[in-house]
Formats: sequence, structure tokens, C-alpha cells
Amino acid sequence: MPTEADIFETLRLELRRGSLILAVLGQLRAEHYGYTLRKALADAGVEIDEGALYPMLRRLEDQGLLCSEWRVEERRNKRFYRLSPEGEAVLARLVEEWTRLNASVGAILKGTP
Amino acid sequence: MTNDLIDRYLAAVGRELPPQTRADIVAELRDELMSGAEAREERLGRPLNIAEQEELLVEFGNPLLVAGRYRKVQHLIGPALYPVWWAALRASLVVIGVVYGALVLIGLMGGRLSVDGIMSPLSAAVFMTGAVTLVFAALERFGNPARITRWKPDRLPPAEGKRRSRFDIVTELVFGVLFLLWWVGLLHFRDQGAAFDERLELAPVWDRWHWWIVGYSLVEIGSNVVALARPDRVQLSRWLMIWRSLLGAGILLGVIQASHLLVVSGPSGKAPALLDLGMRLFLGVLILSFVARAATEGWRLYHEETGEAAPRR
Repeated sequence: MPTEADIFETLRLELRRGSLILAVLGQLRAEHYGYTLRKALADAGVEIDEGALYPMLRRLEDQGLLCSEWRVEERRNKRFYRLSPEGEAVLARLVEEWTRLNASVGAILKGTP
Repeated sequence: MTNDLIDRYLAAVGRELPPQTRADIVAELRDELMSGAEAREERLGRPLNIAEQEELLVEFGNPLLVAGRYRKVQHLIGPALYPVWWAALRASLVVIGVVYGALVLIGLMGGRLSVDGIMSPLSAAVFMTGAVTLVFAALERFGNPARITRWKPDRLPPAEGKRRSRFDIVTELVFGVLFLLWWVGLLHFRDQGAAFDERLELAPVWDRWHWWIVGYSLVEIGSNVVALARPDRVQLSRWLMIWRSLLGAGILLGVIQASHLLVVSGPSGKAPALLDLGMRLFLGVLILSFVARAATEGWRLYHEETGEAAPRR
């Protein structure tokens, strides 16, 4: 039998899942490699573990939303990601959707006792 | 941090990755691990010890799971197809249950199938579960779940009114198929009279009605298939039930008029007459049940067509 904490954690993860993609796309308006991207997201209050981040980056790149290139930095080969032109267009639409949804949900929640 | 532990970890991850992307993914993960280790070393002001290195890798995740997240296919059967898979699996297992139930019943009556290689019920259930799952996994991968789950509201069965359960229909369907197989000679029964030095055979009257009975059996199977496939066609199912019940009653009325229904050979005295009487009584009850069924369905049809509340048993 799941406890209240388990139920909350499951719902929290579901709530975060969609917004993580938005946060990653938003952060990649500036170029990052995986480790700095994760740190930048964490500093902004969005924690994401490596196991979720790297496959997500690869998927977004396969979808044409990100571009990447290998470059040597700090004596190591690193893969740098940034938003592609298609990614920018999709992000703009997602932000619009997010803002609308946020306003709607906010209004609903404000109306509750 | 020693590269040995990272190398072993990344090799374990790499073994689970597709060859074409393996080197690329492993190189990226190596950089992530090394960056993470260096950040910790900087914070501590010393190299990580073995326990700390292991802790870092444990936090990174089980190699199988880390590699698994890169797979394009993350589930065997997704949420769109899962309810359809479950319904198909349940239906298949019900059919297996009914078929084996019928075979057990035939076995108790001394029957045997003339075909070899019948699986045990457990093997059949496991095989069916695997086969249904494989078909749905293939549909998930290569098919179009939206097309598969497409449905038409007008095919929904009525919300009210007395209808046969799907279990009833499947059971009758399975027994109907087994009866037809027996009637056309593909399923054999041992001679029950043999234990009493007697030999039981159907009287010649049954031969005269052979094709009528084959026809009845096909109509019965067909009407059950219609009832299963199109639960919305309630009126059609009722009409089919009425016609096949009347056909069955008519055939048996023709058969029952013969002077002998069974041919019993052997040294017994009163046994042949008793067996024939038993058969005659059985057919009489069957005729009455056919007529009663046709009347009940006709009654329901009448009420449904006149818009009155359907009668309930």
C-alpha cells in the first residue's frame, strides 16, 4: 500500500516531467555541455539527474531541436549543446502554452478555499 | 579518481548500448563522471577514496538502467494498447479454460480426441499469454495504436435489457465446435456400452438427418460468432436464436418419431429398451428447451420492438 509520501512523490515526478524539457530547452539558449547544463539548472532550482538528462538531450537532438558539437575544453573532449533554429521556434510555442496553462491553473488554484 | 573503476563502469554501460551510438554516449558519460569526481575532489581538497568513488557511481545509476534510458523503445506495450492487450488476453484465457473444461467433460464421458499433441492447460495458457503479448508488442512497435483502438459508438451494446454473457456465448461456441467435430467424425468417443458387453450406436434415423444437423450446428456457431463480434446487433442475435431454436426443435421432432433412436447390440434383456427410452426423454426435454428459448427470445423481441420494458428473468 503506497504511503502518502509515495503518492506525493509520484505526482511530483509527473508534474516535473513535462516542465524539465522546457527548462532544458530554455537553458540551452546559451551553449552548455552536460555537466555545466546540469549545474546551471540546479542553480536555477531545477534538479535533474544525469540518467534523465543525457538521454533527453539525445532525444531532443534527434528531433532536431538541439545541435551539438564535440570540442576540447579544460583538457577534455566535451559535447556542447545549444538550441537549433527549429528548437527556438518550438520553445517559443511551448513557452506560450506554458504561460497560458500556468495562468489557468493559477486562477483555478486561487479560486479554491 | 582512478580511471579503472570508471572504465569498468562505462564498459558495463557500453555493453548494453547499440554499437552505432556506443562510443559517443560513453565518451559523454565519461566526461560527466570525471567532471563530477573533480568537483567533489576540489570540495574535499583531496582525491576521492574507493568508497567515495563507488558512492559516485552508485548515484550515477545501475549500468543496465543508465543504458536502458537511451533505448528508443521504453515499454513493450504502451498505455494506449495496454487495455486492449489485457482484454484480448482475458478472452484468450477464457477460451482456453472453456476448451479444456469441455475436454475434461468429454474425458469423463469416455471420449478422446483423434488428434495427438494436445498441450497441457498450463502450457496452453503460457503459450497463449506469450503469443498475445508478442502480437501486441509487434503492434506497439510497427502498428498504429490509434487505428487499432478506433471504435464506433453505434456498435456499443444497449445499456439495458437481458443479454447473454460473453462467457455463455464462448462456452456454447466451444461446445458447438466440439459437437460438430464429433458429428462429422473428427472427434471420437469410446463405446460406453463396451463395459457392459453391449455396443451402442445411433439408429439409422440419424443418418437421414445428418446434413440437417450439420446445418443446424453451423447456424448455431455462426449465430454465436455474430453475438460475440457484434453485441450491438441485439435484434439480429435474437432472430438467429429464434430460427436456430425452431430449426433444432424441428429436426429433433423428425428424429423422435422413429421407432428406434439407438441400436444396442449385446446379450442384455431390458437394457436396449431402457436406453432408447432414456434417449427419447432426453430429446423430448431438448425439444421443449428449444421451443422455450425461441418463445423467450420472441417475447423479448416483441417488447423491444414495441418499446416496452424488456422482460427480465
